[in-house]
Formats: sequence, C-alpha cells, structure tokens
Amino acid sequence: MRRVLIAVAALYAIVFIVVARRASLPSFAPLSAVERDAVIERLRGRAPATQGAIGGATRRAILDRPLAGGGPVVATLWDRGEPIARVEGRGTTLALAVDDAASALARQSVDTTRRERARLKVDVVLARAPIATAPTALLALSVVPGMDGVGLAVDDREHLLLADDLLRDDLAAAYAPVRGMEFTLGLDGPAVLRRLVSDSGLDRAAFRRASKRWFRFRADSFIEPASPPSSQSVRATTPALPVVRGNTPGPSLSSEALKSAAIAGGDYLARHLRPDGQFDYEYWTARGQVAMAGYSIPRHAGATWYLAQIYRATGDPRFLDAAERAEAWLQEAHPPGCDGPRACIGEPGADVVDLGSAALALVAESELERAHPSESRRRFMQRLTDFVLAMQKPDGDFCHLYRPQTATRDEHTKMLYYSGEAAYALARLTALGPSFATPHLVEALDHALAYLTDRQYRPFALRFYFMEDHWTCMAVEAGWDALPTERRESYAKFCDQFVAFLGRTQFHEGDPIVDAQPDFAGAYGFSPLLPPHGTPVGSRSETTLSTYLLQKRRGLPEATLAATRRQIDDGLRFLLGHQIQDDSAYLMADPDAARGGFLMSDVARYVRIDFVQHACSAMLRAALLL
Amino acid sequence: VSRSRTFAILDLAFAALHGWIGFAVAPSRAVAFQVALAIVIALELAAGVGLLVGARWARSVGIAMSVVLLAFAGVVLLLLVASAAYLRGVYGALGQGMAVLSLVAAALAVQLFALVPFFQLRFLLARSAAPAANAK
Repeated sequence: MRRVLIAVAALYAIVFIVVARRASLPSFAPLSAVERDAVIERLRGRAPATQGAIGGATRRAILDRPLAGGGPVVATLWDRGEPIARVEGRGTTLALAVDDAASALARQSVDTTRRERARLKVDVVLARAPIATAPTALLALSVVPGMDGVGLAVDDREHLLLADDLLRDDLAAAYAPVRGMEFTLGLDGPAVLRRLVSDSGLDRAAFRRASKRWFRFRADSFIEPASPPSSQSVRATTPALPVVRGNTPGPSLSSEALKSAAIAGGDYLARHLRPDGQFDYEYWTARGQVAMAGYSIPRHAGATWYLAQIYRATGDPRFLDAAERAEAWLQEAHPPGCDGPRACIGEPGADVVDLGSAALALVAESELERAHPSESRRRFMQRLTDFVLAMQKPDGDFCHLYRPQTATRDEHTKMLYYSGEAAYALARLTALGPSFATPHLVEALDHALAYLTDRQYRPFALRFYFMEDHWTCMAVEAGWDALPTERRESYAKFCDQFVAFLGRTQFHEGDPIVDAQPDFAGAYGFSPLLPPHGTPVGSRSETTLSTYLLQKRRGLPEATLAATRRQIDDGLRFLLGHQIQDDSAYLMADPDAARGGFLMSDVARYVRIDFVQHACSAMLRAALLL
Repeated sequence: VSRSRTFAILDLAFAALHGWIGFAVAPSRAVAFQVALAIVIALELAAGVGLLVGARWARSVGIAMSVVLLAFAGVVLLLLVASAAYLRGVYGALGQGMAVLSLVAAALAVQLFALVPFFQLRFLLARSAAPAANAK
C-alpha cells in the first residue's frame, strides 16, 4: 500500500511539473526605452530623436534583436477610444517586423488630421503559450486579465485579440462562474472564441476541417504620450510610455502628487454633477456612457462629503458650489414621514429608508458646516442626528432600515457598513462644539464603538477574522478626544489588530505574486486571479490613516508605526498609478470626461462615484497629514 | 459493534451523503457524471446492506466499491493538481490564499471519497476468505 501511495504522489508531482511548464510563457526581455522610442519613430516615419543619445548607432542596429515567432509587431492608432487603424508587421528581427508594420501603416487610408491626432500604440508580441479551451471555467482563467491577448492560428495563419481589445470590449473579466450572480471572473471565453473564429473568415465546415491552435500571448506594450492635437513636436521628444493592463505609469508618491490627484478627483465629481444635483452614478469609459440604475443615496452623500473636503483643502469655490448643489438634492430626498422632527433620507416614493443615507448625509453636512457654517444646515443636521440616535439599539448596534409612514424600525435586517457609518457620523459631530457634542451623543458613540469593536465579535467563529470595519476605526480616531479615556484604548487596540489583518492581505514588492504582476503592489487581495480593485485600496487606506494617527497619538513603537506607514504608502502608490489621467485614457471615448476618475478595476472599466470618493479622500488626507 | 457493521453504516451514510450532494445540492448537467454517480451510490448501498446482513457477496462488493471510490478520489486529486499546475503556469505564484483553498479542496475530496474506502479496503483485503459479516 505504501508503494502505491508513493507512486501516486510521484505521478502527481510529474503531472504538476509538466502541466505548469506547458502553460507557462517562455521568459523574455522587455524592450528598453531606447528600443521603444526607435520603434515609434520608425512607425511615425520620423527622424530618430534618440540618435544622439546612443552615440550615432543606427535605428536598425538598435532594433536588431531576434523576434521569436516573427512577432508580430502590432501598431494601432487610437483616437478617442477607437482603433482607427491597426497593422501587423512580421520579421525575424524586431527591425524587420517594424519595417513591415511601418509600410503597412503608411498604406492605411486614414484622414491626415486624425492620423496626427491619434496616439500610436505598439504591441510587440514576445511570448506565446497554449491555452485550454475547455472546460469554460478553465478557459476563463487561461489568460492573465489585461496583460495577455488571445490568439488563434488556423492553418498557420494567426488571428490576434490584443489585451486592449479584451479590455475595451469588456471581455477580460466577464465570465460569470455562478449563474444568476453578478460576480464575474476571467475571460468571457465563448465570446472570444466566436470572435476569433469570425476573424478567421472561414465557414463552420471549413473551420472544423482546418488545423487550429489556440494560444495566449504576452506583448511588450507602449504608447505615445497624450498631448494636445497640434503638438506632434512635443510628442516626438517625449519618451514612449510603457503600458500595463491599459495603464501608463502614474506620478511618484509625494504630497504634491497626492494633492493634485485629490483635486483631479474633485474635478471629476464636479464635472459629473448634473443640473438636478445628482451625480452621473456610473460612467462607462469605453463608449462614454452614463448609467443611473441603482443610484445609491449613501454614495451620493459620500461624494458630497468629498466635494466639501476638497473645498476645505483648496478653498476653490467650484467645489463648494458643487457640494452645495449635491447637498440641496440630498435635503430634498425624503419620503413622507421623514420631514418631522427627525429627518431621514430616501427616495420620495420609498416605503423604507436606510440608516446609511442619513449617516453619510450627516458626515457630508458636518464637513460643509466646518467649511461654510449655516443656521439652516445646523437645524437639518440636528434632525438627522436625532434620527441616527433613535435608530440605536440597547446593545449599541443600530437598526438599519426604517418605515417612515408607520414610524417603525426594522429590528432585524442588517446591511453592510451602516452601523460603522452611523458611528462615524456621531464621531464627526463631536468636533462641532457643545451644541452637537452633548453627553448623550458621546455616550451613544461610546456605546456604538463598544458594540462594533467587541460585542459583535463575541461569537467564537468571528474571532478569526474581521468584517468591514473601516468606518469603525475612522470613528475611533474622529471621536478620540471626546471618548472616555478609560475605554478608548481598547477601541484603538482593535484598530491596531484590524489594520494588521488588512496588512496581511496587501501585496508588497518582493511577494511572488508581485514579481509576476508588479502592478499588484499596494493592492489588497488573496490571489492573482482577480486584478485588484481600487476602491478597497481607497477605503482601507482611509482607515489605515486613521489608525496610524491613533498609533502616533498613543506613542506606539517606531516599528509598529513604520509597518502601518508602509501599508499606507504602498496603497497610495497604487492609487496614484490607477487614477485616470490623459496618458492612460487611450481606450476611453472621452478622456476629458474620465480624467481624475477611478475604474472599478483595470478590467472592469467604469467609474462609480464612490470609487472616486474613497480613493481621493484617502489621498487628500494623506497629502495633508503625512 | 463489529468493524464490518461500522463500515456498513459508514457505507450507507456516505451513499446518502453522495446522493444528497450529487443529486440535490450540486447536480451536474453531464449525464455521464450522473450515471457514474448513480453506479457508485448503488455500490455503496449494496456493500452497506451486504455487510450489515452478512451476505456472502458483501466482501467482493465492498472491495469493488472501495476501489472505484479510491480511483475516483485519485482522479479528482489528479485534476486538482493539474488545475493548480495550469494556473501556476498562467499566473506564476498563486499566493497563500490560493494554496490554502487548493489544500481545503483536496482535503475535502479525500474526506468525502477516499478516507473510508481506504480503511475499508485494507480491512477487507486483510481478512481471510471468511464471510465478511463474521469479522469482529
């Protein structure tokens, strides 16, 4: 029996090694900056600007590297998110393939103005590996989303879908593994296969007879920088930008860069505020479409809060104007029953309203009140405060839903975030002077934090992980001065543990996953299969900032502070590298509209107002505090 | 309780568990899989009942059932290994989270399909040709 077990284990080891090697891409050296510039210059038909820098070597010599599989070099002209021309060039060396592509590009019939305005993107295919086309779940995970393209060779003629094509057409992360659920992961394999079969130009019978080979490929990708349409000369002297997952490099981490990014986020929200005071809820960048379905009032309140924050930081009246217009919409959003002594917020026809809308409205109002005090606002805030306090349960937690017509609380339904948001709202009020920071309010905050940091975690199973408590730790920090000294230390210790837990899920340089996918650095997650989302980085950075401030106040050891600071800095670098800027907007229909926004992820390319709020709030606070 | 009786009860319990999982909780759309599952469950039921009543054929059926389930577990583990290797090839290092998930999946497969058949096969093979039901 022992021999059988050893033989089985050996078989498994052999299978692992063989399959892993076959699925791996061969290693390759990316192009150097000099090579990239030379490729762009040749394709644009310009004299080499880099010649002096390389001591008179010719472009052909620069590009004289062998090209495995003949490339190809794929050159695409992108204009407002549309590929207006694409050519492929093949050759045994990079120089020959680029020459081939340049000739093909010159033959393309494209309007001269558009040709000059468009940005030239180049993908030099450097490695291929076979993929499994069945089962569908395995096909979905057969490419690294946003980094790999998919190819089909039919009778030795190759058809390619670049990573850009998969991103732009929302195919890179569109496979729904569980029917009926919104969750998607990996390649929409059937759609990709259909498209490549169609590209092959063969009918069904001919395709079945043909010899076929499916593969993924990795390219070295780079693009001309964005520049005003009339500035080809500026473009010619600016180095090509490397592209990873549709992104170009962001600015380096500095207080100035964070502040500029925070302002760009404020501009995004102000630009997407509609005349009626609502925001463009989701903005889909590939085709410049706005979606308002599922409009979330808590997220509206969060975006309003951010506009008030950025106004307080900059004093720019545009932000105050936008914040007050969004605030006015919020003050009008209520059904009958919410307009009494206690103010609640919801759709005018709603039977049920939620705690989160009122709590985050209170947060936004408290920020505006600090920026621009107003008596009518204070009255509204007092009514909101009374509502939030009335929703608190005896154990310190909160009811999350309320029926205004019957004035009854839903004692059972629990929603994500709302209790933490309510605690944060109460904490923010403690900074507004004695008319808000009453003993009753401070006691309610203390009671809420005792529940959130201790009582809710008492069941044994909950003692092994943490829930979404980022608002909780922001509340501890915001209410620190008002909280009873004998109890606040235990709340702060909870936050130390919470942030350390988050830190264990953050990717750092030197991690094997980051070695394979460097743009994961600073993001949070547990596997390389799902490209990181920016919003969790934003919200986790917000709470980590609050905890860092608590740790400094409490005089914690330098090593603890350094670990928390590293967590913050890595998150901020990630955010700076993922904010939409002109250079990274080549796949977007309207770069002006998208500028300053944050995508759901690199492979789910839409901006929602809360993505911007969380990321920019973290960056703004970091710019001011660090 | 005799070991035969213990294995008989475990066979019947696992027949019910496999039937519940395979036909009620997560039924497959593949007919071949459903047929194979039905055969496995039938073998488990037969072995369980046979060992319980001390039938002469119980030992043979029990051995057959154990071999089939061990082979099934072996194939499941092989597919898990191959999938992990494929993902390792595509993505590079899979990280701690994926490693833990893979281990959990493998452990679950071993517990569900391999553990009882492994000990039952050892027990049945170690016995003399005497009827299974008399074993203590």
